[in-house]
Amino acid sequence: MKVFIKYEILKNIYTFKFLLIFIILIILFLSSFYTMFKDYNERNKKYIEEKDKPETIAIPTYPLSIFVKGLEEEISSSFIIDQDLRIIWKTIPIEKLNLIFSIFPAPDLLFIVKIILSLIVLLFSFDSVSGEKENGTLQMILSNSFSRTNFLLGKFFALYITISIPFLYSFLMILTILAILIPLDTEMFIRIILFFLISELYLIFFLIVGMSVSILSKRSFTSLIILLFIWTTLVFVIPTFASLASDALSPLPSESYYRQAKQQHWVKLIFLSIHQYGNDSFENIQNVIEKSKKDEEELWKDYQLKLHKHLSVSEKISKISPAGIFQDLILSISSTGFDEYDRLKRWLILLKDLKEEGTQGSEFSRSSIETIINVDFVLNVFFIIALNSFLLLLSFILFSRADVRKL
Amino acid sequence: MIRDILKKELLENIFGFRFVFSFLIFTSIIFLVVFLRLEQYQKDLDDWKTRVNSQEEFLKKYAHYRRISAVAMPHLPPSKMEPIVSEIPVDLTKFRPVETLFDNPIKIMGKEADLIFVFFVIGSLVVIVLSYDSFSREKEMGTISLLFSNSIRRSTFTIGKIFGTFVTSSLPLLNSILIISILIAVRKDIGWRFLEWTSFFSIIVITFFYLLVFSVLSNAISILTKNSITSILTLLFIWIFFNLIIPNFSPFISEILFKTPTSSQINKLIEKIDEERDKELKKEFKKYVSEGYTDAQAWKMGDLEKINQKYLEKIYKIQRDFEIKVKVQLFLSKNLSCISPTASFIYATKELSGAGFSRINWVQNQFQSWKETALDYLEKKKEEMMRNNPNYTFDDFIDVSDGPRFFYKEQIFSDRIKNALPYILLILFYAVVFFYLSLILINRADVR
Repeated sequence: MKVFIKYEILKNIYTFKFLLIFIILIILFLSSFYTMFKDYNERNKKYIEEKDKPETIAIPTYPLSIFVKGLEEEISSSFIIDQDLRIIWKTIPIEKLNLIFSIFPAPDLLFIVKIILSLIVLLFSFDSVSGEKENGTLQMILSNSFSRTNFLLGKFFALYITISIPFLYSFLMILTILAILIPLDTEMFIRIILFFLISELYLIFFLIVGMSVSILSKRSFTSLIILLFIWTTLVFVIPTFASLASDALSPLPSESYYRQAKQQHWVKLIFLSIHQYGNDSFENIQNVIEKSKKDEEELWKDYQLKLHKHLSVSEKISKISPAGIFQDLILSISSTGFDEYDRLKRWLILLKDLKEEGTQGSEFSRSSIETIINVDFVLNVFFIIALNSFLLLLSFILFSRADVRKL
Repeated sequence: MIRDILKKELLENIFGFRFVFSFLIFTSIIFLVVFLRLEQYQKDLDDWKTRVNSQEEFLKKYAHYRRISAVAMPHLPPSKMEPIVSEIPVDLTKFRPVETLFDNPIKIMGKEADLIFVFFVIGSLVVIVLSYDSFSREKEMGTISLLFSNSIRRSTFTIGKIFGTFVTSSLPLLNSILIISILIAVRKDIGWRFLEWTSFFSIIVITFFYLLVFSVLSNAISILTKNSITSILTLLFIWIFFNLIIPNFSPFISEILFKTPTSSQINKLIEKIDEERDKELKKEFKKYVSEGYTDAQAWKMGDLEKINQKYLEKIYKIQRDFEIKVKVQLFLSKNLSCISPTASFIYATKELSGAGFSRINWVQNQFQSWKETALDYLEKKKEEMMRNNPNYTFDDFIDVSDGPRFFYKEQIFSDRIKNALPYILLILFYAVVFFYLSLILINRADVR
């Protein structure tokens, strides 16, 4: 078995394909790190400019946003609470200025692992078994005392090691650069290790899928074509459909609808109270603020309820695909996802209420690692592990039952 | 001879497993996308109608001069092309305070699937899958040497092959036209007019050109490579490069190459000018007060107004420069991404559907013109109220039922074509270059 794994690794490594992928990955990781680090620096610069200004709520940018940008542009913004007690953006997120950002996703590490690395894994595994069938070597190997289980396990480990070499090398390279540029604390380090481990689990899923299809197909071309369509469906179609489907299944009124409703409440109350009391004295305005606050709370509750339902439907649909689960887990680890943005909004509302009472609130801090690793998180990780184990078992069954004469 | 090669290619491909598989997948995805987007369009239309009606109802009861600008807002209807192409968002409140609470994070982060997405992700992959081995297969089977030893010209053979694979890969697209047309025509509430149908068919034509680029490129790579596996692997790397790397990196590269000041830096500059203005106005005021003038009299003299105007112009210049810099950065990002035919295709189709970058200026101009008319109307209304009622205050109700309303006019077709033309030409340029490359490669290939 050891000899077989060694042979397989060497066979994979001494190919032009491996060399090309190795070089591409290094270039991709470095260019992604360079661009995302520059982007992080720009956000950091904005934070430094804003943090000491009076009345400004500036949220520091998070170093892990270099790896996973997510909603970081929105989270690490500066806000002010104006005289009408509205929480407004002080710094405009870059997506609102350069609209190309709204068309193409950021080329961060999440994007590279989720889309490009998963395809690369398939390019390594599509002919793992079918290639041997085509060359006629499979029958030869199986006619010896070498068991089918050993053959498949050997193939699996060899492919896993082959893929992990360029991934680990590129990852360690940018991690070293990051550690030199930004001091990393223990928690950040744990998050990065978790990022790597979950990425490995995700890539193993594609590796097993690649092997399974390769077992089932007689020719490598057929295997590659089927895998390409599986990859497209899992990585592109399901996640992008999730948002569309949640729009249809659990509609959320537009941002403009809520803004309009809020403005109308405010203006209506002032108008009515002026005509009731005859002036816009301080007491009168205080009265309006109190009434308006209640209406706004109702509106906020309504929005929260609908938004959570909308997000939950979208998440459930996207989790049909492991790419959806992977994205969800990575966004949680890096504290740049939907949950963190929601936490920030709740914190801003709390701060606004405290401001009205004349007291000061605490600083906004990202979710701790203990909060992130909750039941949902563990279940998601467990689901990927279970899925991988199930698929591996299935491929063993398929391969063990295959008629050697037909292979 | 071309006809025979074309026929052979077509028949060979159509009855193959990969064609049937690609055809079914492509068709079902197109159906699902358009079906779901139609639902979304209906929802957005209802949302827009609710907002417009609610505003009308509100103005009927509570319109008053002092706060009317806070409630009388322009509402953009969803684009009629939304069932097939998602629009680039137009933010009418870009440089004004925006409340943060009520945004939809999925819309910020997630890219929704539309027809263009299906064409550039799945359509281009289908073309590659159907044509990666057009030449390499003949090489592997040894038939290419046999063919070239006959009187068939290499260029004739290449043209036949390219068009054969292109026609095959176009069949799923032709089928999708039928599906989309039926889905749209059945839903009469969508109300597509001549403009939308023309835009739709021009998008399909551009998609044919785009798929032709990938078809010609696949053939060129197939000529270059000795076996089919190398051909498809090379093509997949090119696909990743064109579809995922160039467009996604371009805005970040342009951000590094051409820096724009941050909005907080602009605010800081404006605050500084405001301070300078206040200082100078105070100084000038003091002079007038010492001469015995009242505040109102001092303003009437005109010098203070001139000072105010001078600083306002400075602020306006800063804001305008900032806008120009943002536009330059956008221009740079766009042009960098156009190295990839996919980015050109996305921009061309978005412009053709009236949902591209040019729409931003188009909408903002209409908004500006409505705003000017509305302000003018309000001033007249105020004067009329003051004339009729000496006790009138700015908090009293005013009837604005005869006031100007914001009606959005879609871009006309000739404008859409004009805006999309540079990108269309780029797509054609790529198709011609790759086609020419294929001809050169096949002519120079050593048949042995």
